[in-house]
Amino acid sequence: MKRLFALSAAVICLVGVTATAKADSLQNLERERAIAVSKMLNADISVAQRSEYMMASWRRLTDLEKMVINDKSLKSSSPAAALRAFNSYELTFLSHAAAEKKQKITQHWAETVGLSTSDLLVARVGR
Amino acid sequence: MKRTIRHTLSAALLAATTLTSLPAMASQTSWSPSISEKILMLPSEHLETAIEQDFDRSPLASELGSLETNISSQINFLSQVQNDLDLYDGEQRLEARHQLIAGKRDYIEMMGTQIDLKKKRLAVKLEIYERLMRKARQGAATNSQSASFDAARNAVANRASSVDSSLREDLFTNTMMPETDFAKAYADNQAAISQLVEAINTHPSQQNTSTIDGEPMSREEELRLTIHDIQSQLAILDMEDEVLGYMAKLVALDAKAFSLDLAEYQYGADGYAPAVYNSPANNLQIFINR
Repeated sequence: MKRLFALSAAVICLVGVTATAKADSLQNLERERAIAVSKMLNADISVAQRSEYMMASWRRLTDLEKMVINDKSLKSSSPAAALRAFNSYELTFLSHAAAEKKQKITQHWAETVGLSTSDLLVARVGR
Repeated sequence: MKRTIRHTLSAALLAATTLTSLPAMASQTSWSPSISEKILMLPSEHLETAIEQDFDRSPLASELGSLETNISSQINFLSQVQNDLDLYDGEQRLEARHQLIAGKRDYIEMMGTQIDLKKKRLAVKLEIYERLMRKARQGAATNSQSASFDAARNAVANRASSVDSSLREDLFTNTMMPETDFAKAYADNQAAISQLVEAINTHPSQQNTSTIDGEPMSREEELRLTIHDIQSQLAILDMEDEVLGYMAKLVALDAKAFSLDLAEYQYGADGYAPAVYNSPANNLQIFINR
């Protein structure tokens, strides 16, 4: 059941990318990014599974980011959301921002949101 | 003969009185422009041409054209009369002087009308440019919002394109999978766009854009300079009006001098001698001599 759900989600995602890429490029990117982040933080999957998923996600994110950058319709359809996305480049364009630092997406995202190894080591459990 | 001279004298005096007050003789012809604000999309030099072409189709333009022809022929006539003036003597010379004064009066009238028509043309042109300016300002207000959006988008695009090739290589080496169809098409189109943008930037028409200190001039700035130019032309026409006023004054003085000369010609060098009527005292001797 779980596998079926994951498959359907992937199919919906792919259909979304190809069919409504132009109209909802920013939404598609945000959706893909949210899925990628949830996979990064998913403790129920193995390291190999996560790595495999992130490779596929990296390709999709790269394409989706290019679509957003070249989407002229954003100016009229959702300018405020697009501006907000442009202004937080590090978190919106994960693939390109990570390439700038020559890092993996996971590492780049974790560092940007303040989850570096040193930060985690000095963290304390609290309520 | 005396009658003719009297008529000439009255005509000269009439010329003198009419010239001092020189009424505005502007014709009723006008220019109703039929151009829309869409001409704002044209480059500045074509915009001026479009407005001038619209003017050329107006009754005002044809009136100005025919007036210009009349003024030219009037100038020729005046030059000829002025040159031939020394060839005449006596009554013929007076007649030539009269023609010269009347011709000058006609010239000043025509010039006055022409200046009024020129002012009318410039006033309409100014109105067009002010309308275009309002439109351009409205557009600029909308554009300033979109300009900030474009600036943010361009910054993102530039930042992303700086890592584009290294990202493609990383993707290929890390995933060991061929590029997606989108990525291939994107790369091809991006290369084509870069070449086209370079061709646009080096196009001769692009080099001809107006600049201030090397910075390209905005449409609003161009319109503002044109409006300034029209206003200075109107100021020059006001000065021409003043010049014409002095010319009229001079012709009025000529006419006055002419009327004095005419009077001298009519009554001789001693001037007008009033008729002397008999008085009883003058004939007193007839009555007292017996």
